[in-house]
Amino acid sequence: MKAQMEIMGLAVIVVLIALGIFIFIGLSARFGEVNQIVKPEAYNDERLATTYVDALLRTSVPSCHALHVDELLRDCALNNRTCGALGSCELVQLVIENVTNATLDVWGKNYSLNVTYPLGTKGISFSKGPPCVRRYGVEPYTVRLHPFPGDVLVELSLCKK
Amino acid sequence: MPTHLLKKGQLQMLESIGVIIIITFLIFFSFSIYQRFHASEIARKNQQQNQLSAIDVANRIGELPELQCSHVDVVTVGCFDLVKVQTFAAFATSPAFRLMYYPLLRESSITVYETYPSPHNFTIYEQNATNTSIPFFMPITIYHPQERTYGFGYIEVLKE
Repeated sequence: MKAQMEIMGLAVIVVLIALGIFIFIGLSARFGEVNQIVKPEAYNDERLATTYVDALLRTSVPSCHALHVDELLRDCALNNRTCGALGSCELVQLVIENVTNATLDVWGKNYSLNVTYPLGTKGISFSKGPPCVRRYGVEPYTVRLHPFPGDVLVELSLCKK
Repeated sequence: MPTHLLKKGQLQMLESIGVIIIITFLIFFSFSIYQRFHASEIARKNQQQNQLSAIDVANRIGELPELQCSHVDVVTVGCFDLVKVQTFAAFATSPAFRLMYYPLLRESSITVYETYPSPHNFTIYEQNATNTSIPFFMPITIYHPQERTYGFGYIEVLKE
């Protein structure tokens, strides 16, 4: 009788351990599944980085014959002609600063926006927050200066949270 | 009755009761932990669902010919025509208008902002959306047909 009771106790313990293992495996499988799915916030920021630069470069600057930002970047790299009271380099920097202040800063994003010119023209760089540890990888947008001296690269990186 | 006088059967009974109490406690404890985990999981899923719906609404609104920039039937992606936006916004408060767009936009609040060169905004659709939801932003250019220029702006979508 005593031996039977002990076997019953052992069986209960085995059942409990098996149940625990099943629950553990079930939960870890579920977590793995969740981590593999692209999260909406990741999709948002990745898409935002692309559409933002696209819209920015197409924006017209009324104080400079309604030239688009990409045209001003091109002019800055090649000629830096005067437009109103400012040169195209200063003007395009001012426009980008205005736009980022009214959007990315207001949305509370940590970002870095860099414009790199060829031939040693001083680039533009705006950022908010500490340097990104992990960022959404977006290819730099290229403004062609065909056939010479190269390309202007516009890159917006949004930090992953 | 003094403890040393307890019979063997009574001691075993006490042991069993102790084991049952401990097992019951463990079951309740695990259940409460699971409940807590499950509640936060549901809240997180709900938030993700809202964000996905906001993305869906932003995509739909971006594809509306009523708002898109077009020139000789050629559509510019990621661009809204200012005159079309103003006209759309003028009808936004009309119940018939909201009823017409409800199957497409559901419970949401959609505002078009222009930030450069002249900051202003237009609420183009509003139907029972809460301000507590996480907004979805989609940068766009806003075409000014009279001046033939483009401003920088964005769409903000809030979902219930």
